[in-house]
Amino acid sequence: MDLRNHAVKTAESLDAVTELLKINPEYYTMWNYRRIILLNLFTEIGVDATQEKLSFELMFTLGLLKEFPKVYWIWNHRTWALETLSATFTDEQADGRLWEWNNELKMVDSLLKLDSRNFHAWGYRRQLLTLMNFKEDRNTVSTFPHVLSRDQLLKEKQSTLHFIENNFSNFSAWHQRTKILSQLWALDGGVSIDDLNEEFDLVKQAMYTDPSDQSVWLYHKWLIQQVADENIVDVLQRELESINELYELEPESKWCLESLAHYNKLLHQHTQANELLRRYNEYLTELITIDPDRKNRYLDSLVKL
Amino acid sequence: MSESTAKLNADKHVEYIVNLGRAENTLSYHLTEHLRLNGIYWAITSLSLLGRIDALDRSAVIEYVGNCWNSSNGGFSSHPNHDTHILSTLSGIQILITLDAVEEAKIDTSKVVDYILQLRPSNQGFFTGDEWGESDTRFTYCAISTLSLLGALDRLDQVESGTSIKQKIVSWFTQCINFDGGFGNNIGAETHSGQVFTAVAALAIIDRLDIIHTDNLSWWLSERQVQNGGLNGRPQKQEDVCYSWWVLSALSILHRLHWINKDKLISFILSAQDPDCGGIADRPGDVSDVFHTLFGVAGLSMLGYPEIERVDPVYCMPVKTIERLGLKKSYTLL
Repeated sequence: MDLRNHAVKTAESLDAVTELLKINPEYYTMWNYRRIILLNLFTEIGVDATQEKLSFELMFTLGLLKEFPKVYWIWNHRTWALETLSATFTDEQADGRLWEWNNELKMVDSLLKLDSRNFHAWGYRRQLLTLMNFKEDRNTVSTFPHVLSRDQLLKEKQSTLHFIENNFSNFSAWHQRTKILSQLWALDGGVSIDDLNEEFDLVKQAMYTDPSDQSVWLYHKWLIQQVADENIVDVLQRELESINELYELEPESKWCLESLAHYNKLLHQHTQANELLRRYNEYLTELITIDPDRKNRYLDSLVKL
Repeated sequence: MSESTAKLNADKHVEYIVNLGRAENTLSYHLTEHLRLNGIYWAITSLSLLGRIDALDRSAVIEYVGNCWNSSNGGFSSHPNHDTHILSTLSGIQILITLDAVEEAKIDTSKVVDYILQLRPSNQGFFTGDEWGESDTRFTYCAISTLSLLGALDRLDQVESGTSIKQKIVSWFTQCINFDGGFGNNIGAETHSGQVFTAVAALAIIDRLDIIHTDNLSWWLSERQVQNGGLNGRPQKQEDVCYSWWVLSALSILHRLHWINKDKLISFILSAQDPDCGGIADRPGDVSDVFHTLFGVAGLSMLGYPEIERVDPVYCMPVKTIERLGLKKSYTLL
């Protein structure tokens, strides 16, 4: 702290800060001081040495993240180091930048293996993907997922599948998939019914594996929102039938009932068949018994016939 | 209530909080300097809700908070001589307002307002935590809450490149909305109960809750309650007492607080109390801390637990304080 107060910005002071942050990585003032020292050093050394120092920052923060995976300040510093490093690469060094980025993706994968729901790691992954695809052209949208190339979207689609197949309960991966597919389909000018059905097959497999896992039902809800008006009645009828089959096997499943209720009401919006609303109310009434913790929600949702 | 014998051990909690302030010579005290001002806010607010704000030395607190204020840039740091940050700035202001001591602390609030305003990158609808540029819905909430508490919300009406700052903020929050109705910490991020609170409360302050799909989001929030009565922060995650604040405050602002099982949640919070040393932990059997103590007590307050003062779900400060400032918004408590 004395070094900082006297505005010392030498390489030796950097070593002292490194030791301090190893003990207390939450000490955000020291992270700020670290960046001030580094920025000062960069004005005195060449590009190669600067890149070397920033690579050290990536290595240093990785070591800390393995021990403290949820400390905001470490992630913040790593993001700064990555952004600063990527800005030092010239066009001729594009390969070097690509190498660095792909290593970063592997690093995020390795941290997500330790905790597949770590939202810091997922956030960093999105920042990384954004940075990799960033265009200098200020007129293009530079936010996730809009900035991603088609090729990158396809790769990320595959990655989310990998996470989901490892663990159907990983809603972070399902969430990421909603963002990736929305953008992919937007680029393609819409989604084909075949692509949608591929997703319905995936989610059905997950539903049968564990009908009490709400991640899967949430994703199903999103998927239904993606169906175009001309197909929605057919798709809803097919999905209602399929969920009904599962419900017969799992009569205590709250999520089956919840989805049957929701989709009957949705189908009513498209067909106006009053029978559907009657069923909707019946399912809600059943839910009051099966899921009494949320009984007031069901009572509020009943419709007058 | 299933565990009807459990009661709030208010005296123990007061004792626990007061003792925290006396631990100045311990290592953990020094290792937590980075959130000291937040800690004092959690302590002051807990004590205030428990009706025992007099248990802390008022003038010592005001002096300490004053020493955390940086008169050159206008922000507050977490501890004297640390760097300023938006998180400690909101805490500093919340403490002084709860103690009705802004003038006494000799803080130039116009400088605080300017500090907050310069944390918004030009033409953007979000605020950063400090000059290093980290963005997060939390920081935008901190900015809006601080400006409101200081009576400077009209500064957001300023027009920049054709649209007001307020419109830019609304547009940014709109881009953060996910299909489940919720918000993550940035555009594209997964919905998280903590971030949902920051977005819902910030939008409530600027009267723009209209961009939220109330039933959809309240549905998601009510599904945070798990079998044992506790609330989790995201689907398929473990319950934690702090979500008694993040989830309930949002439900209260959306007038859907009755969509969860109140008795089971009260039992869960009470079961996370430390019967020996006082304080509330994240879940039963864990070590208590002042953060979970506040959010447990605030949760109980919204659920109408007896002998706790009412907490305002938008500002996480006593209702009577917010009423004194004339800032009360529409919400429903149980």
